[in-house]
Amino acid sequence: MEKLGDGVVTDDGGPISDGPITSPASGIGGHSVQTAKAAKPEEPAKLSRQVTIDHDALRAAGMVCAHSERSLIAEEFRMIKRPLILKAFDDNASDSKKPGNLVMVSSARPGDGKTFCAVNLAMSIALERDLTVMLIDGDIAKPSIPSVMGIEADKGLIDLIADDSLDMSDVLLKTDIENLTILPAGRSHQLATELLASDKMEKFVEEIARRYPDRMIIFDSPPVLMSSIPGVLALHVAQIVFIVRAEKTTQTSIDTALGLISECENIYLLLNKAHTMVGSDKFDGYHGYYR
Amino acid sequence: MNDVFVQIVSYIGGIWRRRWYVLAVAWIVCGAGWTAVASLPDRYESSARIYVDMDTMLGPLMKGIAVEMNLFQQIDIMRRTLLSRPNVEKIILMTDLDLTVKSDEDKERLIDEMSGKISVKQQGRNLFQISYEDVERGLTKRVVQAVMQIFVEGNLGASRKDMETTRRFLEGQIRSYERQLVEAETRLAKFKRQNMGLLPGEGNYYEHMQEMRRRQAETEAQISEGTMIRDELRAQLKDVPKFLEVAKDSAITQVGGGFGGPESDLNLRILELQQIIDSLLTRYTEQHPDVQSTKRQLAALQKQLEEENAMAAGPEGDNVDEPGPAAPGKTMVSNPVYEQIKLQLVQQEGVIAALKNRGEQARKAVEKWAGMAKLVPQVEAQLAQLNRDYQIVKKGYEEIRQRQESAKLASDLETKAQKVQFRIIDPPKLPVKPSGPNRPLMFAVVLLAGLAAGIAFSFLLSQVNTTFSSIQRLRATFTLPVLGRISAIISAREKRQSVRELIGFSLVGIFLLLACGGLIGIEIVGANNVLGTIKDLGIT
Repeated sequence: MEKLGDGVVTDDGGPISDGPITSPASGIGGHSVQTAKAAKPEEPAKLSRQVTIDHDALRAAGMVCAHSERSLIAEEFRMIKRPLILKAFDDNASDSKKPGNLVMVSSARPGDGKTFCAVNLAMSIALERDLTVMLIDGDIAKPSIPSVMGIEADKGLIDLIADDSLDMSDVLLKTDIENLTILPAGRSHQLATELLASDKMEKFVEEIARRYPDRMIIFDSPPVLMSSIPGVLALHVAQIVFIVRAEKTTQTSIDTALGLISECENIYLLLNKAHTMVGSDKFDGYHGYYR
Repeated sequence: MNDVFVQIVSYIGGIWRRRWYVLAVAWIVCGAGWTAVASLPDRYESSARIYVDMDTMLGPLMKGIAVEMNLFQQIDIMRRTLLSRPNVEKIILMTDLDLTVKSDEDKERLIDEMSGKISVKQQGRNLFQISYEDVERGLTKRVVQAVMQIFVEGNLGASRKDMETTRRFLEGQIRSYERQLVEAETRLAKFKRQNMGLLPGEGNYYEHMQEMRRRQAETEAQISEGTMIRDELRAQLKDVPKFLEVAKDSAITQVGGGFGGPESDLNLRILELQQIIDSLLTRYTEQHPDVQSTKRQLAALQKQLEEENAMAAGPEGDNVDEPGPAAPGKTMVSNPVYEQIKLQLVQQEGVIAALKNRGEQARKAVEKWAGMAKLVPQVEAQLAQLNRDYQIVKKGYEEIRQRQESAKLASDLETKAQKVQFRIIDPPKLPVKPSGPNRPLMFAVVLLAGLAAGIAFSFLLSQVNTTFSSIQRLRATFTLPVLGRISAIISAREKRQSVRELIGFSLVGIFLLLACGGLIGIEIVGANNVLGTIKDLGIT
């Protein structure tokens, strides 16, 4: 923790890097280039690892990706992210308790589309000109971000909290998208929940939130009804996007889940996998406008 | 309006999402229902048509009523007449149905059941159809035949029986009224007797009272009259001398001796003795012993007479009875006039006394009657009451008697009236084909019921655990802000799957309909025929 906050070592893959090892994220293609992780102790600056996102896979999966700016899903997420962003950077000035740019994406049960929405949201915000995004995989038991994005992940959040010897640059992943960094979940740990509830986690969260005022931090989390982690994460985050799977998630589940994450004051509902129904306000009409 | 529409659409969506439940429940319900319908026993119906002249039937009942009854009433009458309790009992006996019931209440139930099951339908003004439906073929024919028989026997006399009952009832009533009438009469008579003088009308109290007073007044008048007469007589008596001077031998003495009282007797005897002496002297001399004894007697009598006169003169103050010294050669005799008046006076006194007595009685009577004055209104009222009661009983009695007469008349008419005209047009036949139950219809109904149950079940499920398919619903249910919706991305594989599922669903649904159609078809064609055809197909 003490290693953070110094100006020497950056943790977001920003341009400040005077190591000869890699160049910042710029292009597509190629597999991940491994950074010299176990750097020589006398190395003054450590750089985060660089990974390349599999955009084809993303596109195939129908997700927001860099080259489909005008797809339906992209439009939908454009609408969705706006309130979050506004809230994030509106409160930041006033609310000192919880930084507003901390967002958790969760749902009641697995399969509702948390990772899908978290990734999409991150990708969508990464397209913003003035913002940067850190996507943190909070689903310690079943980390799914790496597989979705086609990247390899090793150490991550839990390791960062559990192991004092690690710092951000050891775990953070830079991507080929300039504004986007990814923090994987890390190795599974028996006391994951306790770690995430610890002071260290709190300090970490505080730090990453305040470090860059134009950064959004998005947590992907396990299902609320299947894990205790969301409840803990709710303590730290200022906004929660709660995914409701259309025609699947029952009202009772939602009620129960919301009760478990009630520590957070700003909970938004998001309807996922919605089918077109007569009379519903489909966005498609607008989407067709751009064609 | 739009909200309602959206709501309905969401309900339909909810049911559609659980469509497999719909089919599952429908299949279960239909399976059970169709089995039940198929296992229903066939029912057979036997019927007969008869011609009944409604006029002859309705005639006695419609006496005096000008309004023509409508058809419903007619058929109702027909039913009631035909299916009266005794008739139904007879039917049960004739068809041996009474063997199936043991207890009395079972019998009652059977009677009620039969009354309801035997159907009487009107097909024209005088045309009726009697039918009976049952599981047992033979029974249906027997029942209808039994009904025919009842008609034939002309035993429609339920009304006659009623007549009998009515008559007996009336007779009983009459007897009771007669009793009451007699009692009332007796009471009235007794009362009248007891209060004779106080009753209103002739010889009423006031008349009596007047009579009493009159009598009293009369008596008083009589008394005063009598007293006046007595006084008059007394006055007269004063003026009339008591004794008269008459010659000794005068007729008056002889006569007057008659009413002189004891003095006159003595005078008579003295005279007689003087006469005897005179006659003796003519034959004998004065020295004769007879003459001397007679003279001695005479002397004694004269002495006695003197004594009496002296005594009479003593107590009485006035000198009326005292004759006083008589002139020589003359005797004092009582004055007959005086005697007469005195007699009258005495008589009059007697009369007055009697009158006074009567007067006393009359006065007492008047008193008594005056005392009864206050009873008069009471008695009047009581009498009125008793009269009234009597009148009421009498009236009731008369009414009953009238009714009895009319009942008798009616029953006479009935027996004299012609029997109900009746003819069998179609006799009952043994049914060959079943008349029910209407299985095709039932199959279809079961199908609909099954589908309805399925839909209801799905709907219930959708309501019990609501899911959300639109953000409106989310907004409506939760207070939290809704960011928006993300459209589902359906992969090609998923699309294929959903198409397959839809096809499968439709097939199952169509199969359900076909099953129903098949059952209906079998039913219409006849199960036996189908089985036979299958057998043939199997063999060949």
